[in-house]
Amino acid sequence: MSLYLVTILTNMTLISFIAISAYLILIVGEVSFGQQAFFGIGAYMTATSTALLGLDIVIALFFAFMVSSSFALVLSFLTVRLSGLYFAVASLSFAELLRLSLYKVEYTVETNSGTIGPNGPEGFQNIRWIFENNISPENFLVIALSSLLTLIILLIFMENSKLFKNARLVGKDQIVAQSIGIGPFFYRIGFITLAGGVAGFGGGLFALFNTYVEPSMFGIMLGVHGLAYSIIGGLGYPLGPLIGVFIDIGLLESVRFLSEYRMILFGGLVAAILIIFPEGIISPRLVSRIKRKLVKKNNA
Amino acid sequence: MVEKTILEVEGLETSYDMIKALKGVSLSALSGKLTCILGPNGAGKSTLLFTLAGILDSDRGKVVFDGEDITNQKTSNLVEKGLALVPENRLIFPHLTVQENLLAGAYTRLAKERQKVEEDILAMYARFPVLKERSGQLGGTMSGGEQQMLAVARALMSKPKLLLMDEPSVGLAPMIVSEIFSIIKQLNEEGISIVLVEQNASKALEIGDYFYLLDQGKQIFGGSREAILKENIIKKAYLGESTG
Amino acid sequence: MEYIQISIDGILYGSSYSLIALGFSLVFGVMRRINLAYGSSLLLGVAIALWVENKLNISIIFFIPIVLFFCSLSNLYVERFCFAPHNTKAGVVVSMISSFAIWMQLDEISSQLLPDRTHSFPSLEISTFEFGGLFFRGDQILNIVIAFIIAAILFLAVYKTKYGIVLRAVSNSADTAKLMGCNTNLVNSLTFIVAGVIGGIAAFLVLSTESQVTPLFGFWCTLKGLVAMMIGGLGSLTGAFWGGLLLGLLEAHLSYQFGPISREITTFSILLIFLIIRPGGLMGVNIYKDLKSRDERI
Repeated sequence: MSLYLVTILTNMTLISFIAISAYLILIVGEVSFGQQAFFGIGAYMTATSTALLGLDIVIALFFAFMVSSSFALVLSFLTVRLSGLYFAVASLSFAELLRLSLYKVEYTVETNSGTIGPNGPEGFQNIRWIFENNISPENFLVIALSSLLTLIILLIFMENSKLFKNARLVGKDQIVAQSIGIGPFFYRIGFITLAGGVAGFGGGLFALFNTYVEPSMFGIMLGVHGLAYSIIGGLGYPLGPLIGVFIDIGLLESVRFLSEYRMILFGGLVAAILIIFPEGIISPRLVSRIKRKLVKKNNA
Repeated sequence: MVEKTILEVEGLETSYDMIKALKGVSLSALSGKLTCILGPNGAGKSTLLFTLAGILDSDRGKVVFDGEDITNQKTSNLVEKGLALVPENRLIFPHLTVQENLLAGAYTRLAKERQKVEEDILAMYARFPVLKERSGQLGGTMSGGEQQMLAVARALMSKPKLLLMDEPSVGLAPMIVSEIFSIIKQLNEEGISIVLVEQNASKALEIGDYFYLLDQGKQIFGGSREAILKENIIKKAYLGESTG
Repeated sequence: MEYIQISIDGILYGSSYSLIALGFSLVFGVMRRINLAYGSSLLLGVAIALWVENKLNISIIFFIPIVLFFCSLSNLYVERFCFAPHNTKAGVVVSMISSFAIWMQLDEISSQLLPDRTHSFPSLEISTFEFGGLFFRGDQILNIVIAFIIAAILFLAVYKTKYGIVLRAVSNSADTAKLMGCNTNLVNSLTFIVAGVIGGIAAFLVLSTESQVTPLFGFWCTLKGLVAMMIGGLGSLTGAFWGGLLLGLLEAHLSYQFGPISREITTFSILLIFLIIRPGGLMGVNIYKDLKSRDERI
């Protein structure tokens, strides 16, 4: 496989984590404009754990998950009374506050391989985990992809659980959910926290792959993309967000003559897809229709 | 005297939310008369009115209003042609004052005949004194009966030739319902043609001239008051018994 | 004396926030929808106008109407593409997301039109004057005067004219307004055009004060306008005006105290605090207590 292809595939895998985290929040009926910050927190956390503290990657990614989900937990408590537009704007401002604070974080250590540690606007340089462990780009892709697949398989299994069904009901109609005794409080907090953790985990992988991170990487445009992927993919099935990733990076960025106009094309494409499929391509309605058909076939 | 037909509906079929709610309805309303459309819940009465008012598009069929084919025209055109709908649950503008609600009702005339609109508002106040008392009050703060009067007055502000009324009795106390129905009767006696959709059949029977009965999207009866009273058809329809 | 000077600077600077918030608020007030691409469409309008100006070399008197024209045109594009197709109740969130997505398209077109990081922008060249030991920038005085005039005109138009009644009727219930014969489609398009003109004026005044434009201008506009509107109260015109001034005042003092990076942090902190404590804004209703407006929550 060419290095170019490997890089594209790795990028697709990493950004899928943001898309899936946006998807998880959409399930409980909220729109988050702020998942990019949790991605960033996870990236910084992993960088710190591996480069500064010399921890194992599994522990580093676990920390990334825990810390970013804790920040998401804070957001979910702060916004417990908000929904819709108010939640969306609150998540955006929370994310930007986190990102801007990274500009103020400075703790550097000089080593033979250069300065490491968060260094304000300069970011966190020299995250040398993949070099130290001799991980080839192909091997890294395998690591990232298998993490993503594990996550998706987990989600697919959980789709049929009571937890997810109730969460979907909360997202669809809070009043109906409440009337049959499903309080939205627990589900909202749970899913927002989980989504933060998923984004943070992806961010952790991103930091290792990219070998340096800086606050400006986790700006609002990253969030726009992540949200757009899950929206056009649809809320029906955990594979939905990947469709968006594929269209944007797989199609637009990798085709040379299109990549210069990628943002222009993709922005328009999202708006156009939303006109044709207001609920995304794999909408819950489509999924239930397919399920019904499958049941019929099995019975026949 | 030759009676003129103001509204003629032929074989109207309309789908609502992917479900065929009207499956071929034909009826006609005479000018200056009060035509009532009765039927149980879900019979397609409101869908019929929405189609007539241009909110929903029909799949098949024809609507002729005042000698002109108006099938699937836009609501804004229909209002200008003299068709006004008083919606179910009144739907007055809650954050506008009573006077502003009336002005909004005269939307199609605001640009052309402002002076005349002002006069008509005064005429409405004379007809509905309670609206005059509350002219500066926000619509949303009034009682249900007052809101219904406002909704009727607001529809009249467009100077309609035909008034479509959707369930004016919904959610109102019996006393108020009687008052509203006497207002409807009075308007009709003054020469305004009315098509009234109502679930409260006994009230409608007191004031209507002609009756149509809808059941499951189909029209199962049409005729005068005497005819409808003679056949026991209303009871059958409301109890959901098969009539065919 | 120093504090007074900072307050004056902050309030004057805040008047440009007020103008942008007015455009935001007008759209929200009529459509109960939020246009996240607002700032970006203003940036695009400015970028096209600058591009035209470069090609034709025109004077500033003709440049202003060109800015306004392209700002309202790109705003109209957003309305047709992201809002008009989603005019049902379920479309409230879809249209917000659609405008969020179109944001990147508009920003990218603008940066292709303005390839340099910063681009010079024609300045009005009004001198600063001194009064009682305090300094006033002439262009900023002009800014606040225009902001006040536009706020007043909008307020009178919406609350005192018959066309304002139509706007408010559409805002109350678009479906019922349709029953009155109102062409809500047209009303929405006109609202976006007017918002584009107001935004164009704001963009021109801000950029001529700075005498340059960067690709970040779109985000800046959306952000400041949104925050000012939310501080003032969603959909409230007077709230938007005062919200902008208050935001400018707070920012000026806090960035004087804690340094320039805190300016951004301040903006977001204020927004977050307002959302948590009083989401309805200063002039807006309390969204929890008022049942009516809770129904309208989006």
